[in-house]
Amino acid sequence: MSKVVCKGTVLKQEISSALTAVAQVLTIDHDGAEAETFESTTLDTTGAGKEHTATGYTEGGSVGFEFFYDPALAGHQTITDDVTTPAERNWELTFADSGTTSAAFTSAGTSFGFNVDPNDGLKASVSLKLDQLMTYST
Amino acid sequence: MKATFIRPDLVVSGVAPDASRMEQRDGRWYWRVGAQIENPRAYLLCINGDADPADEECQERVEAWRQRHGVTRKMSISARERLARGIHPVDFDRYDAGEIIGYNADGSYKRGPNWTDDDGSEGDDDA
Repeated sequence: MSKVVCKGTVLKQEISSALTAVAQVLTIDHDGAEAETFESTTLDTTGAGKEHTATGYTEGGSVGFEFFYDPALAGHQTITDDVTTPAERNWELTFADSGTTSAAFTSAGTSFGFNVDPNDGLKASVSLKLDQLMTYST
Repeated sequence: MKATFIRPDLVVSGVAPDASRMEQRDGRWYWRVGAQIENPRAYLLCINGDADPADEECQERVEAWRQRHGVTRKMSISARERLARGIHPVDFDRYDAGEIIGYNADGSYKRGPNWTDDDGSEGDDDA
């Protein structure tokens, strides 16, 4: 059991059938996957506690990341290409643990925005809507 | 458009395994160094430092990009290796200067050949 640091984490995207790293990424976040439920309380439910039952579906959530944006970079061009020509794309996060475990997912939709600040480098933010679920390393 | 892979760490994605062009390690398929692909966007792998052009169409596209952005093949490959080591943008200058070569599991720096004690940071000498 150990605490895994974040420096050294690599985000990879599929370009021409190869998973290759995205350059200049600053932060990455996943807003969470949620197994969906419905309230299943009935009149004959015993006790005061409300009942919930799994629907069998899980919302995969979205993966977002911020990076120093360079329109010349291959990986950054691919991201904007997915905005202008929407397409699903395979991604993979490789963590910085000793076993370099990874989490893979497919993006169904891409959102992209950038920020020009004279006190900072050109930065962009991306949000990837997951198709189905992230594959967690086990 | 054709390109030839020059890195051994590119996981195969979206195509069926082909032992003649790929190799399996740790239960995953990787493109072999020297394997060739044909894809309309193969040039992106070249400018990313993952492959070299393998036909004239790809070569022209890559050269045009390199000239427009002042990036040489060597620069692309160096940047790609930096990327593979997971170097955070805040540490780019230190890596490029040879002070660090990566991070230890605890987040401390792996010392590069140009590491100096004046950095005031601890790390293992893994150059």
